Amino acid sequence: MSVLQLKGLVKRYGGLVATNNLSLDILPGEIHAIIGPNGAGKTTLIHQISGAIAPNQGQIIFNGEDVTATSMHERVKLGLARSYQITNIFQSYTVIDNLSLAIQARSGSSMRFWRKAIYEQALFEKARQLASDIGLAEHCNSKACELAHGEQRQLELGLTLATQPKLLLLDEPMAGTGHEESGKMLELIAALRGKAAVILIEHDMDAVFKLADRISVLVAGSIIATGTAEQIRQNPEVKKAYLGDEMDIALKEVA
Amino acid sequence: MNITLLLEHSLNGLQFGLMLFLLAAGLTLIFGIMDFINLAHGSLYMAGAYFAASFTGMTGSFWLGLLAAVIVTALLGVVLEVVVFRHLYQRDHLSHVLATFALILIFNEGSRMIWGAQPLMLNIPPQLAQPVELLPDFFYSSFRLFIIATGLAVAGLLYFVVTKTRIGMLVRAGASNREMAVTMGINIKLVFTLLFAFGAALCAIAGALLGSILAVQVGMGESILILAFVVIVIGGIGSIRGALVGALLVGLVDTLSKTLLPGALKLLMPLEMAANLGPALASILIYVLMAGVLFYKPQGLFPARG
Amino acid sequence: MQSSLHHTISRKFSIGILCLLIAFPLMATYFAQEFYIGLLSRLMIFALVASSLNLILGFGGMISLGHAAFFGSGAYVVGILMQHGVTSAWISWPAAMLTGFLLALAIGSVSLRTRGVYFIMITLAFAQMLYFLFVSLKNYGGDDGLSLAQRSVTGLDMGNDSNFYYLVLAICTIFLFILYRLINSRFGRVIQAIKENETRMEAIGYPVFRYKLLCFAIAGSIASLAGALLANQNMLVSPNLLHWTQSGSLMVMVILGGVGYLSGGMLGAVVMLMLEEILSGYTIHWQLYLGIILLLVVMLLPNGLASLPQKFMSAKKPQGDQA
Repeated sequence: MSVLQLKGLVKRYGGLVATNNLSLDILPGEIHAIIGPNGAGKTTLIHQISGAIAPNQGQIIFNGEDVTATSMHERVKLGLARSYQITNIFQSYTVIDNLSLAIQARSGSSMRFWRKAIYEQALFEKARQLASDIGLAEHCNSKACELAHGEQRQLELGLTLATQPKLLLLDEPMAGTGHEESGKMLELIAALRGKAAVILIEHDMDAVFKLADRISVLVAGSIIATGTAEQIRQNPEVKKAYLGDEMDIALKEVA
Repeated sequence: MNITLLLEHSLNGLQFGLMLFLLAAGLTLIFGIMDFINLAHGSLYMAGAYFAASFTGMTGSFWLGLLAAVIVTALLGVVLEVVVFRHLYQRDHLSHVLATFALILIFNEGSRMIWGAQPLMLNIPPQLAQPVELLPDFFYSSFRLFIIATGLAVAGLLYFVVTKTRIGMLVRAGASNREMAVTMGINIKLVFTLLFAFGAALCAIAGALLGSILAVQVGMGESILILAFVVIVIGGIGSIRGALVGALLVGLVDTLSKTLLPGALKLLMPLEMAANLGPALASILIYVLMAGVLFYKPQGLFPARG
Repeated sequence: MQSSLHHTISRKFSIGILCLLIAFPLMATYFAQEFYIGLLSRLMIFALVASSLNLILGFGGMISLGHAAFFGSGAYVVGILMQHGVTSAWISWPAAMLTGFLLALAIGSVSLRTRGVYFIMITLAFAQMLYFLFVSLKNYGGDDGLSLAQRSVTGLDMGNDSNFYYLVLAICTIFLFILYRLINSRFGRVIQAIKENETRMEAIGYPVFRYKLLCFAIAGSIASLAGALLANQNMLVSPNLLHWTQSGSLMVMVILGGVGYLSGGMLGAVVMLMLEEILSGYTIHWQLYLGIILLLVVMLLPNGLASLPQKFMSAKKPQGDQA
């Protein structure tokens, strides 16, 4: 059974059709990359799956449940979480504070008004553990804004991981990271295989081919092809869509 | 309620609305382009009224007084911008609120110190003291007609400047995307200073004209300031067209409800209740109007930002 | 563990201030300066309402220009109940708090769906509507306000200013302590984090609207309690308590004191009211000087008065390094 089913999603902005009758199935535990030329509607798609915007038509089924009208925070509670292309963390808080906030959402009610949160050893211990898992163990007490860009991207992913999702929507997690920094990110995402499903939006073709179990190609708001890396490479429709684009170059390089 | 009375109240509403527009236009540009909350905008309006009263008294001529008031208030606006506001653009809205609130205190007390605590009289110029017969048996104050004419003239001038001139284009660009305008290398400092001067000048005109009808007194700025903010929220922040439509709406609703509502309520409830409830409902109606507009158009009627 | 979400108070300092405040009326009576007892009661009441605004504005990032609505409503609940023969504080003060809570719930449920300047204007609009409503209620004083025949009945002799002072001191201490615990609790962390990054809080699973609304309601209820106390202090309830200039004044106190600092509301209220008191003793034009001082503070102390100790600390450091 698919962990996520998108059925006939449509999103219009005035005359512009950003998502055009899009259907897609994501299998549990797989890393599923979505690639496509700029302006294909990748971010709009993520917004719809996460619940930031509502589709005009279509359904989103998560683990058998119709979440098309469910609010974003409810979806997160069900296990559907996203990360952001433009780093969206708590800049002036420390790494521990960042992570503990995300963990707190999943560990008991926050409608607590009297006990001092700072004394919650268990909460901060989990945060330290997570910080270590994502490679930020030495930076626990550093402010997020003081981290290097790659480290901020790791924290960005960490916040999403803290919600213990069954499906992660990663919007260009490698964005802006150089070659050295991206190694850690690749490691973290690869480690998710089998434990949670991942929808990976990426331009970094190197990462896509290393990580993805399956790839879908998004062009002008709809999926034109889905398959393994090899199948996508050979697909003539895909080649046409990418003629002269970075994918073309990447295809040639990897072949 | 006969037609002539309704007509008179409508014209009054139009007149008040146009003066509100003069305040709102400056306010919407300053907020829209500079993202600066200026609570002292009403104080500039008050200053314009006080200067007009003073200079009219000194020179004996309303027109000279008006001209002098506009110039002096515009200069005052420039001084404020250079000395205070310029240092606050980078700060958050709350800092703007604190600073301009402080200015309200300074302006109010300053006016009391210079002109005393009693309201000043500002007399209508003799040329416009006679009522004019607009329709058979319908007489209307020629001064109020002059106010309407002035308001329309300023609206027309603003329309021309904003849509047909280069500086107007810069202003519109700034209103829709401030960062872009700055990166395009426009001398933003000068534009801001000129904007403030211009906004202050408009306030002075409204202050002088309305001051002749109402009264020139300390605190006159605060009551009209809130209405001006309501206008720009209804009209859409950064939009001059929105400021005009919003101001006319607010002016008409405010004036007509204050005059018609008590009468209408008398039909529904005992006299005493109507007399109490009428003015309250009339004042509340403006806010209901704003809430209503925001419900359907959360960014106002003509949002400048895309 | 360092955390900018955790706000400490100096225990020694607080106890010191508390002792001074307890001793104050005794000293005042000794020096025959009883007038100042009433002044200090007033300071504490405004410290409480300003702190309640700081909760939503400073910590929660909700810039409400309508907080005076709750302040004034609380006062009116006491006045109106008293007019109808209900004089017991045990009824009317909790009733004021409940009214504030429900009113804030109603206003918040509509207003909190908006952002930025629209939120400011909607909260302003609701407060102005309430202001005009109270002005129109001629049975309850209308424009002139409603006088109280007596202070609320508590069992103590409330006519005695010292007794009233101690009651106000007790209530303000309790509720300021409650605010302190609230801000440092899980709920408080969530509220602060919402101010820092609302979209991310939603994206990590918090029903943000619910938290903001509850915070707004709590703040409203505390403001109404302060209003009930003020009605007793002044023996008068004026509709001006709900006017936007009163909301503005409260906001100025919070900004002056320090937005997002535990002591911000207190500091701002005390300094502003004390400046008013002192300056008006010297000159009739005290508003001018108050304005100038406020202007200087905003230009020189961007984070308010409560940030002074930090500035002092960081100014000292370089000299230490050179040693």
